[in-house]
Amino acid sequence: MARPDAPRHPTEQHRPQVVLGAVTTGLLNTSEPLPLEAARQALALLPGVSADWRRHPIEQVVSPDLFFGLDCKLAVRSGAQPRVIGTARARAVLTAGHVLQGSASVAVVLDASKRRLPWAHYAARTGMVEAINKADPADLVNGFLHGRSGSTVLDLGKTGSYVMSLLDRVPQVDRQARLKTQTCRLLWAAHLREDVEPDGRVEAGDDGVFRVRMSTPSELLPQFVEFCEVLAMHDWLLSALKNAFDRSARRGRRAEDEIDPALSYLGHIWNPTAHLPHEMRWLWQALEDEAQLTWEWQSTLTRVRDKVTLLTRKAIEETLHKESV
Amino acid sequence: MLVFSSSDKGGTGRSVTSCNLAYRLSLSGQDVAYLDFDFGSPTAGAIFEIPTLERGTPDGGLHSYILGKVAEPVRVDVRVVTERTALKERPPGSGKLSLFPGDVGGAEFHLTNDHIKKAIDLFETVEREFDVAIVDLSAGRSSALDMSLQAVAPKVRPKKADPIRWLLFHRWTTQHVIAASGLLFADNGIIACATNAGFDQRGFRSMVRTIRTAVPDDTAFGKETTAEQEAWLRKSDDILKGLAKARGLGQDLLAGLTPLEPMLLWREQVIMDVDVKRRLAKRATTKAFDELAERIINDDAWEGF
Repeated sequence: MARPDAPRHPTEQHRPQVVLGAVTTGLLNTSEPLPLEAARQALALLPGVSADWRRHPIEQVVSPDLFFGLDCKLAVRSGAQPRVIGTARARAVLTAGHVLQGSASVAVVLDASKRRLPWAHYAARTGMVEAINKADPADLVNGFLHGRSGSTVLDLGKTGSYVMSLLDRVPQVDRQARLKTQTCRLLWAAHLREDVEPDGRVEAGDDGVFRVRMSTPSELLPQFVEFCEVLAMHDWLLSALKNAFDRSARRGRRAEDEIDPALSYLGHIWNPTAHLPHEMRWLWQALEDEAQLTWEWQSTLTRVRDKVTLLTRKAIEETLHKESV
Repeated sequence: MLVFSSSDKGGTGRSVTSCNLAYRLSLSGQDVAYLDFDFGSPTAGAIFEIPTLERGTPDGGLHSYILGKVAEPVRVDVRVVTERTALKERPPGSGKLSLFPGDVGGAEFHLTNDHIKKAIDLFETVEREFDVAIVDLSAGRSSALDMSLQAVAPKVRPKKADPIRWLLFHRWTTQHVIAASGLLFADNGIIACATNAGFDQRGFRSMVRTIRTAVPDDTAFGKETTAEQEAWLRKSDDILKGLAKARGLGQDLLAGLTPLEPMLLWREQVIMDVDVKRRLAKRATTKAFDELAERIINDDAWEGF
């Protein structure tokens, strides 16, 4: 049997042309936010590697990168799905001791080997996958963002969820969250092109999923990923607060049971520019101009606080009424 | 809260009653998840009138999830995907209603610890988002039943977690009462399995309640009921009550009963208030579902049987 092709020298052609990623966001399964020290211990997901962290303006802890082996297909809009082999890169991000994210990505190298090479080849290229068949970068971007899912197709959202689930079993987490929340998902895809000015677009889908696409030089990729994480977190914050407000108006339910944890845990976290890289401010600004997320957050928060005020007034009136009777 | 629906025989109305309970609970303001654990024949999609899920999902349902084939199970918002227009509406003050379908062609499996771990994760995930999760188990003893018991056993479930309800559905006939009693109390029955899984017997029994389904009254004989028929029905009912009591399924264990509903004889479906308004369904049916739903979520009502 012939030996597999030796890896060719990395030329211009064998650099990743497309990077695909997903960010899943949810509430850490704890009754109270984790203090910074406990969060750093909890997110040290690799033995011997400590988690990255910052204290201001909002506490944030980032786990070391984890890698997951892949041999799967990529969704495309038309034609045959290319098979890719390699590893996905993923990390957990914990903000304000309470908002947990799983962020996963793969860099896709096109026109690499025509068949599967020994695993050592892929293991040496962390966070990258190589496509065995031909594929068009634009098609991969569209396929990933809008293609059908299935058990044989790459689904990085699930990788993100898996990374989040690692935090369910650490001793610092008491598994008694006081707020009912749903996990949110954001998908992103970057077409790497060294010769272009960075350009991006954010789409809010009918399914509630944000999809972000960007053409960018590779040096801006880390900042772009951070932008997506910031957007995913704020999208989740907004839906979690709205959900709590919605639940507070349900039949047969005490409004304060929903509003109390929502206000005390989420009310103070909104600050999109806090950890937003400078290079990505324009994209956030463009999004704000169009979608006005910060306005929506403020008005939702005001509604929640107004409700608290009204409930308080009602409670005082009832007490006074009882005393006077 | 986790609510498990079990029955000894097929055709007891377990799934259709569970779907109706899920719907009623969501109307009462609860966020509800319906988990179709009837792996052999998932039917919830048909009951909620979701054409693409009539016999489960072709890809990535709960069966695939438990077997470790997919990292997350498929889920749908019932109101978005149902074909039934009236069911699409979400009245103000009502909660979410999500279905986690089974797989087309799912089947029994040999239970391992990995499956139990998957089930624990699944229950924990849905309980973090929903107020109530209804888990519809297939008829009789099954791996899904064993797995469920082990996944909520005291040794794995956090002490402060929400309560668990275990419902046992049976038709109101001699055969069904005997079979249901067997499923609960026999040597390899539900209680024995629960004890094996680490439950203390008394603690587990306090979670179990029965639901008698499709219970006929004297209108079942038609418009002109004879005095003889009435007397016979009353006598048969008394005999059944005696039998149920002797077999351990007496009043103390009874969560409620659902009347014989002609609409459900033709088609398993969600009975909505509009069906009553259009004089298709009996008012007694929706009332029974509402009362059951209320009892299930109300701790005091549950304890006070």
